[in-house]
Amino acid sequence: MIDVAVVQPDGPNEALVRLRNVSKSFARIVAVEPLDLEICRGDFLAILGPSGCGKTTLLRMIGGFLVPDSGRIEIDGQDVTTLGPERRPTNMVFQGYGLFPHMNVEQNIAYGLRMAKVPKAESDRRVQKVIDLVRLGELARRAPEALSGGQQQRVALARALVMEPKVLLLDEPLAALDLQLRKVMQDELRRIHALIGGTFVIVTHDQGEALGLANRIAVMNEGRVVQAGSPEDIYARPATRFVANFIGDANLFTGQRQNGHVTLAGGARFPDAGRDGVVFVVVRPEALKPSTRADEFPISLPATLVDMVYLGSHLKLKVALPGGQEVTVHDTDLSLRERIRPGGPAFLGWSAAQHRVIDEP
Amino acid sequence: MNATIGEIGRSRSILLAPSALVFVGLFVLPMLYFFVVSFWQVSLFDLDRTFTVKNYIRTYQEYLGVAGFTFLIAGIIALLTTLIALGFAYAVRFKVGRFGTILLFGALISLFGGYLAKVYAWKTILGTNGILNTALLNLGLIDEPSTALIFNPGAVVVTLTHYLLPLAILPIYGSMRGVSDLTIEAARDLGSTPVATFFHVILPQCRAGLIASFSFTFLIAAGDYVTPRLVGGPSTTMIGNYIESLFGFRFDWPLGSAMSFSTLFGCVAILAVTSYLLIRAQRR
Amino acid sequence: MRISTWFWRGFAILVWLFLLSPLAIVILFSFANNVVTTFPMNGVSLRWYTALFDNIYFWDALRNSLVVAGSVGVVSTIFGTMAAMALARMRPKIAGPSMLAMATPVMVPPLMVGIALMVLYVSVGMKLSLFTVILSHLVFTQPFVILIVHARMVGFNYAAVESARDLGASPLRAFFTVTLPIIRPTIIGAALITMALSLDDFIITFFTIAGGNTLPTFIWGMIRTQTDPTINAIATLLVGLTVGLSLVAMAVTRYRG
Repeated sequence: MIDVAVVQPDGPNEALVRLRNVSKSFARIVAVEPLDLEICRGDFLAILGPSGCGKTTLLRMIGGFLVPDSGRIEIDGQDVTTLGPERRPTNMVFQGYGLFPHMNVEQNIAYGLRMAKVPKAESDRRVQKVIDLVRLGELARRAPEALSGGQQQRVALARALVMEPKVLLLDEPLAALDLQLRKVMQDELRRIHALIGGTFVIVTHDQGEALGLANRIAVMNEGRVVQAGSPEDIYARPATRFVANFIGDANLFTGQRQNGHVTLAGGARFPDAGRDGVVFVVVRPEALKPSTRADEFPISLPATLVDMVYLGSHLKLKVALPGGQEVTVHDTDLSLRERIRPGGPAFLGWSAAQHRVIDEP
Repeated sequence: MNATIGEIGRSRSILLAPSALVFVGLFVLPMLYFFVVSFWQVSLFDLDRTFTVKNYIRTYQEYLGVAGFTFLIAGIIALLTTLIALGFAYAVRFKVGRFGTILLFGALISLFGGYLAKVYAWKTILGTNGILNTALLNLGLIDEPSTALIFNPGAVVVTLTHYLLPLAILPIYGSMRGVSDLTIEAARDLGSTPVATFFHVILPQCRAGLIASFSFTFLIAAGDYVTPRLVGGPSTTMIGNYIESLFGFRFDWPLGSAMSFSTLFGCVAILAVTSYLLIRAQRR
Repeated sequence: MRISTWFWRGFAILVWLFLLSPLAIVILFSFANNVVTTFPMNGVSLRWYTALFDNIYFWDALRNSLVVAGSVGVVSTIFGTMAAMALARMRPKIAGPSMLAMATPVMVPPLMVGIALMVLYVSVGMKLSLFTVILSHLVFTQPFVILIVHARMVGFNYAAVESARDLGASPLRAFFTVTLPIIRPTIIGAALITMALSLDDFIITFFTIAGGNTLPTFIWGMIRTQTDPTINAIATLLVGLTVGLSLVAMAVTRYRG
C-alpha cells in the first residue's frame, strides 16, 4: 500500500523536494512504509508524530544520512537518492546539536564554509551576518560547553543557515529545552523563517510546536503519513481517530450510520452522507456547549456534570454521558458556574459544522 | 547509530582489516601451527612431519606430576590474589573514604613496575643476605640468616601474588564501582546485616570481575617460568621451566608444544569447572 | 562498625605497602653505596648509575627498547584505533564477542605466545630481529588500544561527526577535523600505555629477538650472571620509564578513579 500525501502548494509555488515511493527498514522492522511526499519552496513543514513513527528516519533520508530501501528523492530537480550528506543542498540542525566541542562558536559556524573552501574574507562576512541573525554577537569566541542549551541551539542553527541550504532540516531541535525556552526559540525560528524565507522541515512529536511553527503539517504514524495539510485543516478535519487524538484534545463519540443519518450512542441523530456502518464523531472541547435544555443546539446529548475547574481564561468541565463515557468541555462563559451544578442534569450540544465524522474500520 | 551511507558500511571492513590481520597472522595462525607441531616429532635435530600422539603420551607419563604441582601453585596464587584483591577493592570502594583514590593510584602504579624488576626485588628481599633476613637478625628474632625464605614454593607464591595483584584489583574494583550505593542502602534498610549485605548484594554483582581476575591470574601463574627460575629454586620447577628448556638447548619443539597445549587445555578445563561451580553456588 | 572500618583501613594500607615497598626498595638501593642490597644503607651514591652508563651494552639495549616501544606505540595505536572505530559502530552483540576474541592474546600465557611466534618466524624463514619483536608486540598491545578507544567511542556523540558530513566534509575529512581532535587525549593515552607494555615485556621479547637486547632482556642477563646493585639502577630506570608513561597517560586521558 502506498500513501499519497501531497502537500498542496500555496499559490504558484512548485515542489522543491519530491519523495517518490520512499521506504526504509532496519533489520526486519519497517521504519518508513513506501510513501510519497512533496515539499514546496518556502514551506515550513512539520513532520509530526509519536516517537517511533518513522519521522526522524524520513528526515535523515532527506538529509542523506540514510539511503532509502526503495524509491527516489529529488531536491530542486536533482536526484539525490544515493548522495551523501556532504553532497546535498540540505543542512541539518541535530537533536543533540552536534556542536564541535574543540572549536569556538565562530569556528563551529565557519566549518562548512571552510570545507567548501570559501575565501576567508567572504567566510568572515557570512559568519558575522548569521551571528547577527541568530543574535549570538558577544558569544562568538566562547566554547560550546560554556553556552546554555538555548545558545547552543542558536549556534547549531547558525552553523546550518550560513550554508544557505535549499532545505533546512530540524530534528526535534527544541526537545532538550525547557518549556519557557522552547517558546522563545519557537518565536525565534518563526522570525528567522519570515526574515530569510527558504524551506524549513522540522520533525517534532509536540503538536503545539507543529501548530505554532509550520504552515504545513504531515502527521505520521507507524511509518505512514496519515494526513498532510494546513494546520487549520488538520485540526478541524482530522482524517483518522489517531490524528484527532494526536492534535489537540478531542472527544470521540461512537455512532451508527444508516440511510444517510448518524445515530449516536446517547440518542442524538443528524443527517450525514456516507456508507452504512460504525462511525466516530470528533468534537473539540471548545465546540461543545453545556446547556440546561435539550433543544438549545442542533445536536444534543443528555449528560451529568462531574467536575468543573477554573483555569483563568476558561472553565474546564468534566461531563459524564449515561453510558459512562467522560467528555471534556472548555467554555469561556464563566457564568456557567452559577447555572450548572456538579451532579445536576444537563445537556451537551453542538452544531454539525463543528464536528467531523470519521469512517473507520 | 545504524548503517548510514554505503561508504561507511564498506569502510568498516577496511578499518578492521589491519588489526584483524595482526590477530590472525600473528596469533591465530602461529598458535594453530604450534598446535600442529605437537603431532610431529624430532629426528636428528629436524622436524619429522609424520603424525604421532606420542608427545601427548610422553607428557602424560613424564610430566603429569609437574603439571599437577603447577596447577596447585597456580591455584593457590590465583585464590590468594583474588581474595586479597577483593578485600582491597571492597575497602577502597566502601571503607576508606577519601584515601581510596591514593590507595588505588598506588595499585595502578605498581601495575607498571616492571615484571623483572619485581621478581628481582623479591630476590633481594628474601635472599640469604637479603633485607628480610638482615631485619630479623637485627631484631634478634633469629641468630643466623634463614635459608627458608627463598628457593621454595612459598617464595614463588609471594612473588607472583605481588606481580598479579594489581592486575586482579582492576577488574574487581571495576565491577565493584558499578555497585550502586542505593542497592546497599536498600538492603540495610530492609534489615540486612553488613555481612549479609556483602554476600547477598555486593558479591553477586562482582561475579564477572572475580571470575575474570581468578582466570587471568591462574593462566599467567601456570604459564610462568621466570619466577620459579629466579626465586623458586630446584624444589620449585614448574611446567613452564620444562617447556622453556625444550625450546632452548634441548630442542624438542613437538614435545614442548604438546606440553604447552596440555597445560593450556588443563587450565581452561579447571577454570571452566571453577566458574561453573561459583555460578551455581551463587544461584542457590 | 568502627572496628570493622579500622580493620578494612589497616588491611588496605597493608596491601598498598605490599604492592609498593618492593619497588621502593629497588629505587632506594639504586642510590645507595651498598655492595649488597640490604639495610642499613651506607650513604648515598650514584656509583651504580655511573657503572651502568659506562656499559655500552646498556646503551644498545636502551636504544633497542626505544625503537621497539616507539614503533609499537605508533602502529598498534593506529591499528587498534581503526578497529575500535569500526567496532563502536557495530551492534554490541557482535562487537563484544569480537573484542573478547581479539583480547585472547593477552589471556594466553606469554610463554606460549612467544614460543608460537618464534616457531612461526623460524618456520617461514624470517630472521629474528627487532622487526620480529615489533610484530610480536603488536599482538598483545593492540587489544588494549581497542578496549580503551572503544570505551571512549561508545559514549561518543556522533551528531558532531554527522554535522561535519552535513556541512560538506567527506568521511575522511570529518574524521581528521572532528573525531580525531575530540578523542585525541584517549588516543595519546592508549599510545603511552602501549609503549609502557612494550617496554616492560620480557618473555615474548626473549623468544623473538635475535642477538641483541632490550632493557628487560638486558636485566635478565644481569640477574642471572651477577647480583651487584647495577641491576637496581637499571630496574629503577625501567620502572621510572613505564610508570612515567602510564602517569602521563592517566593525566592526558583525565583518568577518574
